[in-house]
Amino acid sequence: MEFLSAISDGQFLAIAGAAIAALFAGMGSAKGTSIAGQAAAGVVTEDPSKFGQLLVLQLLPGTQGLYGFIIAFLILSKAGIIGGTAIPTAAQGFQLLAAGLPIGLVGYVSGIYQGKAAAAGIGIVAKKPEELGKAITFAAIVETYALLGLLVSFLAYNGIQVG
Amino acid sequence: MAIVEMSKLSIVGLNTDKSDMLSLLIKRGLVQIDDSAYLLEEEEYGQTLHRDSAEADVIQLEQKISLIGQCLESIQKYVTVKKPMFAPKRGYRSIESEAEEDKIFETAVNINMFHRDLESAKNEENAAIMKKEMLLPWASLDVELHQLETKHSKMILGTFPTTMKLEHVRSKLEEVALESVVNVVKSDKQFDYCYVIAHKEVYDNAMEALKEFGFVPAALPRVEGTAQQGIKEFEKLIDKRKKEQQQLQEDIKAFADMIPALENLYDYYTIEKQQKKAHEKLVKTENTFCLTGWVASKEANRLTEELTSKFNCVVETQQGNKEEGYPILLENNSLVTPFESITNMYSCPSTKDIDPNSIMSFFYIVFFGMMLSDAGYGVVIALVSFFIVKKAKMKKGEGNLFKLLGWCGISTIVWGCIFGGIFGDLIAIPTLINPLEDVMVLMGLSLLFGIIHIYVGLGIKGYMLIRDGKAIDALFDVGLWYVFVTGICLLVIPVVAGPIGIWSEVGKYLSIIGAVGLILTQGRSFKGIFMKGFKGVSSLYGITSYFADILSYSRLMALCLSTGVIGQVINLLGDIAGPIPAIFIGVIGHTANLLINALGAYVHTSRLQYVEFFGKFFEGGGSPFEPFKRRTKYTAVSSEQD
Repeated sequence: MEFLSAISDGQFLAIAGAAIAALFAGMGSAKGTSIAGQAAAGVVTEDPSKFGQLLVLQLLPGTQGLYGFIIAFLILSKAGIIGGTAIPTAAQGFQLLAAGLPIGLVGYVSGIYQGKAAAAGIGIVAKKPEELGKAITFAAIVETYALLGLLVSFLAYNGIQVG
Repeated sequence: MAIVEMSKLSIVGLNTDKSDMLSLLIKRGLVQIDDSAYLLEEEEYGQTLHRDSAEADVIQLEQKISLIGQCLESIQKYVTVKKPMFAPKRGYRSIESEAEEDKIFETAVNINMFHRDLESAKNEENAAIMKKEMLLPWASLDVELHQLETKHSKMILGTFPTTMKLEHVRSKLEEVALESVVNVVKSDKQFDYCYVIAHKEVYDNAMEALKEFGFVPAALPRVEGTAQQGIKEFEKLIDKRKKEQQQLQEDIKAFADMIPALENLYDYYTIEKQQKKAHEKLVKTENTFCLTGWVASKEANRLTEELTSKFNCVVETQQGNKEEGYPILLENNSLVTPFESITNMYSCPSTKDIDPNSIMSFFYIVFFGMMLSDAGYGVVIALVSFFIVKKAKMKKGEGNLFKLLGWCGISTIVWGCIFGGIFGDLIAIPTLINPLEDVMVLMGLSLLFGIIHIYVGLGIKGYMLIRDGKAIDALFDVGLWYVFVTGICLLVIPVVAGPIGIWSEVGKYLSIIGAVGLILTQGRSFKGIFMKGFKGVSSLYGITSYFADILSYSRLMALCLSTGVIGQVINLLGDIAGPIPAIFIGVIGHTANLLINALGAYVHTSRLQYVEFFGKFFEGGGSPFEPFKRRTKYTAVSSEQD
């Protein structure tokens, strides 16, 4: 019984929501930036002067982790874990948990796929450095869905009344 | 504001004037030289025309350029020139006399020679160091190394791995070569350094036995005397080479004040090479040559006059045709010019387009500011950018990125004040819209900007259609979509934001008019009543793409939130950590947040322009105007100067 009441504790559920947001989005970004970074490192062995341009492309899949972090932070502050005093009920805890899902899951998948698009973009820059803008645009299209995930998470978070 | 009209230019002149004329053209920088090789194909000229070229000159100049390049590189290795950051480039000075050219060139040759000597001294020093290190283990061995043989015995130096026990070696030697000695001179982690002395009769046997124990004869440099003496010898040599290097470095440093002249000469040769390279695009007969290209129509007369007055030549200009297209030169005011690079990254406009830059730059500035949305960051960006522009004295067309960021920074300040963000929540100011609380207002504002942006894009398409005399297409393909999209928007608003009174009625009728109009007109280019109807109805599906476009502007809100929240987190961490760490956390955190969100704002603002805005009207695919002008590396050259 103690176990059941512990996992239906509002604050625990809120932390779980924050964890999902930060965890999966962060994992997606880590994987995405690593994919892009490996491709970039290959180009830099041939032409070190492209480092700056390639860094921009490597950074693009890194934003999902930030979005996840933002939602995690907001959830934690609403649940009274960082600042604030309001303690969520079990139902509110579940709501905050659900709010963490969109950015967590979309962040994970889009981070990886944006990393792949960025790696392909690095291929463009390797041969035609002047086409950096196009390479960035291709990768940025993928990010749209992470942004939409962030928005849904935020709108849900914003609608949840705690206390 | 616009795409500059171009005229096709053809010049026929005398071969004797060719060099002077090219040098005049490159100074004016008004002409794009096209490849005239197509004239060779034309029958009427028969075999009289040939391709021109000055390959030998080009190669010679390239060699000179690379020689001076090397020379500058080697000086800069030893001389640290104190140059203020972002200092403007020195002005280019044409070189008048051959004597002057030769003098500077000779200096470069000399510097290169010093540098070569320096390199070889360095190599010799390294070789000596290596030889000295080979001798070091044997320093305590008091034997003259050039004399390791007596009448009956022979001595050899070498190493055993330390894992090998010397007793085993000795007992083995007793078996196969009794008249031999092995002793350790020195040991380190890996090896025992040993000498072996054996009677000449058993020497070979001893060697064979030693090999089994992993004995490797030492490779020693040639030395007269003992190892100790050899080490001293090499130390002397190393010292000598070091002094030589110092001397040579001083010699090279003495040329520090020649750097400006050398850089100027580098650019002089570069310009010469450009002119010689241009020969490849010309065609010639025995006595004349022909050049074809483009010049801005408004400059055409002035250039023709100048050329015909100075040279014996025929110049013809012919107004370019928009349908056939011509190289694109854009002319905008100094605010808009930096944004041309954003458009060109997508595609250079074609002659059929209108120059989108002035409208695009307005939206670009607004959107960038809204996404970054922090007055503190805006101040930093604007100050840094304009400082660099001012300091480096960047003229129109230079430092576009900094100018662009400067304007965007100002916009960021304005939006930061609206959203109440100065370095996160560091300084509290009254806010008009609080992004974390007035969520629906911010969302509505973002989508409203989207609708305006898309409507402007559609409007440009309509304008282009009317300009081309297709007013009916403009009405059907643009006007009806305005009606339909507006109607649907008015129908959607009450669902999400509450009643809007009479406007929902208006929306209903607008949607019906729009939908019916689109069904009736969108299939007009197809044959058969069935196809017309089918295409008309299916075109209504296009509304989804309009809504996808409008919703895409929600990124304005998302990025705005992202900057604000991370800024607040940084301040919170600072609060927890206490006042002194807070400064570090603040500076590093806000710098990182600024950089990553400025990158995000740049990327996503560009995307909104490329995908949502340009997608509505922009054709692109033009080729940019590339004038034949002096392109220099180290110095700045203006088109008026000779």
